[in-house]
Amino acid sequence: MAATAPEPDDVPSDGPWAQAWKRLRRNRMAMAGLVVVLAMALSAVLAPWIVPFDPREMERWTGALAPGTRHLELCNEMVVERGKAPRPQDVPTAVGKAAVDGAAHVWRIEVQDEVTTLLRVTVDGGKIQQIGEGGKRHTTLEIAEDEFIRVKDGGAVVRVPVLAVGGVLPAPAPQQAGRFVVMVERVKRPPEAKRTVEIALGTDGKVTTVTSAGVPVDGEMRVRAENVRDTSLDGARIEHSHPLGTDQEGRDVLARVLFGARISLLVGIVATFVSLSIGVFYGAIAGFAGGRTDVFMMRVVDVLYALPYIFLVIILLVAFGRSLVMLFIALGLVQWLTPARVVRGQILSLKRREFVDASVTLGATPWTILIRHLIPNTMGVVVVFTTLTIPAVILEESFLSFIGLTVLFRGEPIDSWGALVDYGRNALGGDGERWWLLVFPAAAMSLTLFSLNFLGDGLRDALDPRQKGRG
Amino acid sequence: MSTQTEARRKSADMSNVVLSVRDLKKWYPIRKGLFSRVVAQVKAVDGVSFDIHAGETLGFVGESGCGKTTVGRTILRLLDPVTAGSAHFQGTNLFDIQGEELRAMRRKMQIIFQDPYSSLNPRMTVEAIVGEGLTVHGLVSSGKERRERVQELLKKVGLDPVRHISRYPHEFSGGQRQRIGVARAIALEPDLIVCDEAVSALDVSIQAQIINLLQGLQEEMGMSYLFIAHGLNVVEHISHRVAVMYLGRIAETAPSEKLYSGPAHPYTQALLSAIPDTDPDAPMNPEVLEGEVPNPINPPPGCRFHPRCRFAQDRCRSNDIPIPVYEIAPGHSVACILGEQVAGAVKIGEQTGA
Repeated sequence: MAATAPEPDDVPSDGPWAQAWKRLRRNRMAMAGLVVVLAMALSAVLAPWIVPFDPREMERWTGALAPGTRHLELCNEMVVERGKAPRPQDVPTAVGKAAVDGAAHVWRIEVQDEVTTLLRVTVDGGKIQQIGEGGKRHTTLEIAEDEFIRVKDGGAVVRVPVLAVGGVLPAPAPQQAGRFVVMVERVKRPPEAKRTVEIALGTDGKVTTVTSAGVPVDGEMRVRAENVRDTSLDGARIEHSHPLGTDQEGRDVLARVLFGARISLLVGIVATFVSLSIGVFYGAIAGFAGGRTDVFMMRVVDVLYALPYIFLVIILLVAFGRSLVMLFIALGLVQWLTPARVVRGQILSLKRREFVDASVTLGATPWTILIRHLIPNTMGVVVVFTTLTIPAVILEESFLSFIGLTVLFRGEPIDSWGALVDYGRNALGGDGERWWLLVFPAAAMSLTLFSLNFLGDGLRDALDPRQKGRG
Repeated sequence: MSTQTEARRKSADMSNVVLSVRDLKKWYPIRKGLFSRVVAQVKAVDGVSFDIHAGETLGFVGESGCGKTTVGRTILRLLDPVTAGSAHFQGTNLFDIQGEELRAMRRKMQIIFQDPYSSLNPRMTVEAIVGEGLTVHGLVSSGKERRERVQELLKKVGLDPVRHISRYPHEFSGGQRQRIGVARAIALEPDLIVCDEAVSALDVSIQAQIINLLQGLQEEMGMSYLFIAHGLNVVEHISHRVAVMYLGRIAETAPSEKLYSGPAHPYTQALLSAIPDTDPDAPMNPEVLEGEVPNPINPPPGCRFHPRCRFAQDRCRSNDIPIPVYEIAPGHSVACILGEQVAGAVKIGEQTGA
């Protein structure tokens, strides 16, 4: 009989999603997009383990370093305490080694303690105007042979014989025009203060014991990493490498791009989730209810559609504060409209299908029909919308950051990709000599947005093969 | 065939009326203008009365647009509200109940649809589709129990209870899909199933399979069918009685072999003469009906069929004189003035004009 003849009865059953996945796998662009998106999401999640830098940690003295530059760790403070792992950004080599060995490891470092005196150096037009030390003022300050000066909070060691009013501050200082004050430290390192510290690391990478010059240390020990030589590693200095360079504040660009990915993707996903949830339910209810309810609900959508949304977003952000929640509300307010319309249309056609009548006859309540029959059948559209809305939201958030409406989180501006691109554009320099500040964030953002769009297109084809080839 | 039909006739309990429909009307208003003023009514169903007995199959035939599907859906409360009339199902007027009472009543009446594609949710497995009613009415307490019940149902409708249960509708042929629809309809062990052109979309060979399946299920479970179809030949095979509808009204109701051997209404006669004979040598002289089916927005006055009727007289054309309904033999009634010429005809009602 024709009814039962050529049935491939023993192949495992494929649900609609499994079929869509099969079709998607044949679409190379979409799969490439999927791989890129997943890789970007993974590195965003794993960012703290990929780069040993805090994206907000400034090393002002380095200035903007070109990609691939390596430099010595100079200004970090190293903290070791029994029972805790040394902070990874402070001691990459030691922790790395302990982790690789998976064995107990004694890390031997040479520490030189120092005596510092604080100087207030007033600079005007690049020339030293005043040198203050405690309550005294100097016109000339002699620096002894075993002393050196260093700009406080991050600055290279400079050995100069004398510091004089009218002269130039030899240490790299924040590049500012006009008159400003630089806090400079005069540093002396007495030879007798040199000592060897042994830090025993357990197999778990945590410090088991700390001894300083043979004496056990209780509690926390802080040393300036600058003064540390890792004698267990052939005396190598702790070194930092910046594969994508640093910005003008000495922040690692790779770290900023990866942490920016966290924020941008989070904003994209959360805002999309919020707006799609609203849109799907609103559209579904309007379409299912039909009649006057539908007309009223859809006119509300039309009215919101008619508003110039970017002004709306700007007004909301300015009026109610640039908080993350406000950003979600502002973006969500705009983004739910299109899915609401599309889902309503889908529901209008779906509710005429006979399986809905069948469900009514079986005694299902309207709510059950909506949840069990109608909304699941719109999920294909919703998935496509998700992949296309995420990049749209990322772009909008970036646009807001770009025009200066950076969202604040816990009082600090969030470093989304848009904010990074904006920074990079400002810091580019006349000849684009600091190109890496613009190129890498922009590239990361474009790559992700392209990939999401390709993935969305691929999903649309995969979930609704009949639509293929249409606009 | 006829002995089998005879045997089935006896299985129908003619004394026990399951569904009694009286003067059912379903009009659709046409609204126009700013204030949605009602300018006209589409009289899809305009005064239909019939009974269905326990274990009986009542066939409903008629051309497209004659209102037969509307009758079935109105009874199932899929088209609310009804314009007028009553439908007593086991003593309860179906048009009077709401909410929980209606939901409980739905257990006893199910439907099988024409289109085996749009009647199954593409996102649900066979288990979820067939078991939906069981879940909705709380008839199974666990997923395992539901699975077992669904497997029994699949066995009953001739599907593989193991291999087919977790599949999706698109993996089945049209006939198999219709079997899934049948399984869903019988899952709640209803007393009445409306078969809304249940076989019209299928191949002829598969039509026979589904009809045999429906007949077998009726013998086993004893439910009644309201079997809606546009083809007289399909209805003849399955029905105990047949009602012929024309433009929202029933023209003739008769036990099926009587309808085929001695049609009384001119419209039924014309329909039957249009069925081609299986004997190629038999002379073919169909009684061709003139004209079109009139528009139900503005149906002809008097007898709805008079513009196309060979026997139409003046009194057929006026709304002033109601069309009489005669019972010309036991269970055989006809809504036509010609009924009075039959010996022993009893007038049992009348159809009033618009």
